[in-house]
Amino acid sequence: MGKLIKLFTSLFTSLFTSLFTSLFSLLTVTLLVVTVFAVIVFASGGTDEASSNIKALFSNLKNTELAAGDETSQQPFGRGFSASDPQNLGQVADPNYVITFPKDHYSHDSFDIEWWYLTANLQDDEGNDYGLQWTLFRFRNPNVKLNKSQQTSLKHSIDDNSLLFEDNPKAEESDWSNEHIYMAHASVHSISKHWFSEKFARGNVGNAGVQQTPFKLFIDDWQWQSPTAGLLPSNLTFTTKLISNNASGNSANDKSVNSNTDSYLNVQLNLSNTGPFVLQGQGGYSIKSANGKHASHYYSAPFIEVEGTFTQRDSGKQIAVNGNAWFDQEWTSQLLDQATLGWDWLSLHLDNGDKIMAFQMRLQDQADYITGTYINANGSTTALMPSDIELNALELTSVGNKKLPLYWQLEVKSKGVKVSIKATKNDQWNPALIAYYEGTVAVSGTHSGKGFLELTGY
Amino acid sequence: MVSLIIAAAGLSAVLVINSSAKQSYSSEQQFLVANVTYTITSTSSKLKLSKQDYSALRVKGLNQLVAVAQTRQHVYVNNQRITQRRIDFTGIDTFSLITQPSFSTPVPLAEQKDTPANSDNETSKATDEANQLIRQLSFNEPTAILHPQLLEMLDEGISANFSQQFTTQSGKPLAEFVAFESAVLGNDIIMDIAELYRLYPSAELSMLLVVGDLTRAQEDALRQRLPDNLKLTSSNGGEQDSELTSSFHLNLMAMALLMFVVCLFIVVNAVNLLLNSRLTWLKICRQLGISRRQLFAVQLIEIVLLTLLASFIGVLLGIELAKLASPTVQATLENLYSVEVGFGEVSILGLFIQVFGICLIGSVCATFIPLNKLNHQLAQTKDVPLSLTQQRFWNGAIWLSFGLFAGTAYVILNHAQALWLLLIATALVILSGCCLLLANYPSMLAFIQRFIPDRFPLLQLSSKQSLALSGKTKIACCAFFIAATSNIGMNLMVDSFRGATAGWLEQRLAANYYVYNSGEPNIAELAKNTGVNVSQRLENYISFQGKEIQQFSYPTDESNQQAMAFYEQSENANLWQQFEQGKGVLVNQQFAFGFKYKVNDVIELPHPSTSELSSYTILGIVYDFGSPYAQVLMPFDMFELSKSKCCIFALQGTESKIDLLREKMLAQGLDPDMQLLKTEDLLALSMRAFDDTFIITDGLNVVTLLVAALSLACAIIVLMNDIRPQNMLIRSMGVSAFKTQLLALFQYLLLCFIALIFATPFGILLSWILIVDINYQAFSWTYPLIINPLKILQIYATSLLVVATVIAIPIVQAGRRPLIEDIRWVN
Repeated sequence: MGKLIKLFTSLFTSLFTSLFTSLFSLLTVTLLVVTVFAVIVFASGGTDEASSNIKALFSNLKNTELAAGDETSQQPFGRGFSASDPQNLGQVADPNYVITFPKDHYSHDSFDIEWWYLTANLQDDEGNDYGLQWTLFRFRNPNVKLNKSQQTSLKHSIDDNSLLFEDNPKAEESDWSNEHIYMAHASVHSISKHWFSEKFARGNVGNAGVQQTPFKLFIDDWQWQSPTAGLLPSNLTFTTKLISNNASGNSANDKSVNSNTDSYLNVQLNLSNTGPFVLQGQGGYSIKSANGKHASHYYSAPFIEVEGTFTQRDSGKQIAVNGNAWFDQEWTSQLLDQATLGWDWLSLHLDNGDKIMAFQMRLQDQADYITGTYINANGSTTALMPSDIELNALELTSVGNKKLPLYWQLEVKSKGVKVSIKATKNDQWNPALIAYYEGTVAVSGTHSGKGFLELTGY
Repeated sequence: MVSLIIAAAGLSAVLVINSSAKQSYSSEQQFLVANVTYTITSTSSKLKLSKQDYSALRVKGLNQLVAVAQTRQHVYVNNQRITQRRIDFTGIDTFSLITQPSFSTPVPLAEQKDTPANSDNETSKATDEANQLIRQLSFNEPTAILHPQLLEMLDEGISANFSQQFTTQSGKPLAEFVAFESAVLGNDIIMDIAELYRLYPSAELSMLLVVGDLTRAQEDALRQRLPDNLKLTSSNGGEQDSELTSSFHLNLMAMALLMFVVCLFIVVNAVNLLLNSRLTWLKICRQLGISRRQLFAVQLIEIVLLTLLASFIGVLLGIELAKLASPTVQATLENLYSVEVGFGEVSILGLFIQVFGICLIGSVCATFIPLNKLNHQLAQTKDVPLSLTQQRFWNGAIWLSFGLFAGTAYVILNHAQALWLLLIATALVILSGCCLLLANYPSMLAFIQRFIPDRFPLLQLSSKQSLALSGKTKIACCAFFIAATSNIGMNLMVDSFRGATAGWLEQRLAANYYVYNSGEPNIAELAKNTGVNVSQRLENYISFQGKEIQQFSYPTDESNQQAMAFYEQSENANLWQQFEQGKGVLVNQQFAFGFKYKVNDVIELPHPSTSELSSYTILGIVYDFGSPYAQVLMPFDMFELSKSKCCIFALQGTESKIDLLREKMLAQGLDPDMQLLKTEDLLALSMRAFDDTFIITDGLNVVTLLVAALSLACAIIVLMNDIRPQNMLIRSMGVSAFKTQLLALFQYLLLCFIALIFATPFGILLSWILIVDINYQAFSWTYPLIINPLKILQIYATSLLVVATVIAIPIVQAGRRPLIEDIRWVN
């Protein structure tokens, strides 16, 4: 037994020694090969002209090369999503400015905020109601310093030179941004479902903006495309995602709904104008507060006829829709400041063909400021001053964790209008990064009709 | 103990780096972005992904895309660079990201109150936190996310003056840093893409992430909509990625194991030394009746306790080492494997258990040999020499091993193509060399003895003692042989590669100056009226047999004909004539070896300007070291400026004319100091880059030599006891201590010298295998082996010097012992 153990240990020792030596040599060689791989470092690139080093070298030099740039400090973006910085306010709305088309359909880049806003009350062939909203917002960061070529192009495009900000450059544009940020919202409501999506994009990247000829508003594949330089007629296409489906008793966040083939809706609409553009306020200068500090340039297209289709993306099922739409374009640098609490906005299509826009600005430590416009079916308008219009919330409705005024009464004595306005559906909240309420309403009282209600700041 | 600590520290350090790399690699391309299913990149490194590509795809409706741009830069404070290696600055299009369904799903108001504020799931919490940070990147004050350890490292660059700020090289202040603990983050800083471009306008768009799952139909639609210059790749580990990952980890583990084995190698010797010094004491214990088993158990317990302590200290040291080494080691690894090595979250307990387990197994195994020897020594009062039969048996076994190793290596080298098999064959070659050395030590020593004249009796005695020593220092001698072989092999390979590269560069860089400019304006246009003769290199990237290859123009004037460095060329005397007529092409080694073509073979290639397929004869195979691309050279006239890219311009002209061009370049906003290089400077820079690359090889050579020398030194300390009687006798005869020391040194150096003689042919063979097989398979190029006798002699001198220095320490120590001590010891 002893001999056997001795033999075994002797064998084991020899085996271990040889294994040990083998491992040592194998690993040494492996490490040597690792160093051979280091050649790859030396050999990055590859060119025809004798040396891959040349490119590696130049690329290395290029990487260390830094573009010259001015010494700039960093500023928060924040604009458009919070109150304006009074020190760096964009161009101020001018009561003497004359709105002209098609020029004023385009972007007013020197103003801090601008939007192109479409709301539509639609019906399908079976009489089901739909509410639709599509908006492109533009926010400007006045702290971004423009480069010379951009300044020049802006000088040429807009008469007023007050847009130049060389005196106070705080940030710097880059190849992937300029002073503009675009945001877009698309929302479709049926009685039981809500499709909603939002998008963001930077200027200077190429996937969002306003094109003049032919006129186009676009952010990614959401596009408002006109065949001419004018706003209308146009074709609007976008895709939006189902986020709520009360018909099945589930929210869209449930996997069962998400996996539902109906979860995306492709929208294609043909928009045609059957009436004139309406300049809101005084010739398109819309005052929003009693002291006149809040004002904007604002016009509407309330006579838009819509026909188009909703297509459930995966199932391919199509729903033909038609109805009335209301378009607003508004640009200002004086809407969002520290005093702004929010606003309530109504656009109504009365059954007699008349239209009403009512707007209530809610300001801190100031009385609410209500204005509006009464638009006759023939397109003639009456500006409604605070003394001409009464707008009262009749009750607050609990929706989720918020209480919202979804039931209103509107009275325009001079026009014999006294109507109740009620949301057709309580939860028409757009759960966006900047959330707000945008939904269809039904009108009853002296007049009947349909319309849209927007509530912000709740 | 020190060896064990080093082993444990080394092992832990590599495990920490390995684990960090694994975590980073597994999540690479995510950049804190969850649910990345595909990536879109350019099909060629030359056709860059552009902002226009991105916006065009988004306008087409590909809204799941998120652009990612990257640049590798240093961080500065007060115009002083504070980073040792460049940091990857990554910019993400957060505007796209924040609206991705996987990032945030809009919740209807009615359901918002019921939505739990925080998720219970840890992963989901981490994702939520990352999402929150990304949201912060998009609209708030510019911020940048980085790992706390990187922030800590950067903070070290700021002195007590808190008003100091991190800036770019040009002084632009970096955004406010936000530390975020995530395995995804390594040596990188993540920010919004607009901020990245503001800081670094030259940053490049590296990829587009596809966020969220795609159905088969969506994937197909996406592929169809992609322009030709872009490709869609699944981010769930493509074949190439997984290969790269496994190769990366294999090499890391090899390094860890090598370090571990080297240390154990020293442990074996150290335990040997320890037991040897305790031998007398152990013999007394044995005489007192303590069983051998009990003695071994005590020794083993001691080793286990030492291992425990060493592992503990080693793990702590290893973690620190990993942190310390991170800037250099990580940079090297990142360069070698293009992977992101992050700051992994390592569990200390887990690491300790892992390291202790491995160290315990290793140290117990390493102790086994000395203990076995001890067992042998305790069992006998005298050393019994091997019987003749035993000697013959061992000799036979050694020769058989040699035959087996050499035969297997021959078969593998001649038939195998896989790199790992070639590596094994290389190891087998070295092992066969070890066997040959061991089998021939006695005869070589006997042979040398013959040349020692009788008037040097001490030298004769010493050489005879070497014979006895060789039998007792097998492992140490083998280690030295391996180190010497590797040294000779690597040095000859690097020397040959250096010579080939220098020759090739000198020959090919035929012009006076070179300009690299990929953008506008065209240098040839700029050089008009300056009198500078500009030769453009036009380039296309084409597909050949499913792989992307380069199609480059080559000028055919006489100086450029002379400048071409051929590996092999057609015997046709009209080579250049046929090339000029567009009948034949020149290909680089990468093309010929990669696609298995020879000179005079005919290949079908698209015409550089018309893209029509035509047949061309391969007129020659040319050297093109360093390029990973297969390349075809065609005459300049076949290219069209409007269809081909041009980045490199070779210039011929007098200094004054070049100065004129330099001024024109300056006027166009170009930087001639960086873009216009004199050929000599370019050559010098290239060779410096080459030499820098191989610094690691020199370091490695010294390490292997030191390990072998240390092993020899340990063996010598043990053996010094064995030859004490002989030494005592010699010294009693009046030979001075100094002479006995010299004689001892002579014995060991003689052994080393013989090992070196054997290592020389094996080193040359190793070098040949590295050049002909491993370079061929790994890089698709090869070059002539240059055997420089001076280089070999230099290695001889260095090796013997290193060994002599290390082994002199125990020899001198032994020599200092008074003679009386040895006399007492023998009695």
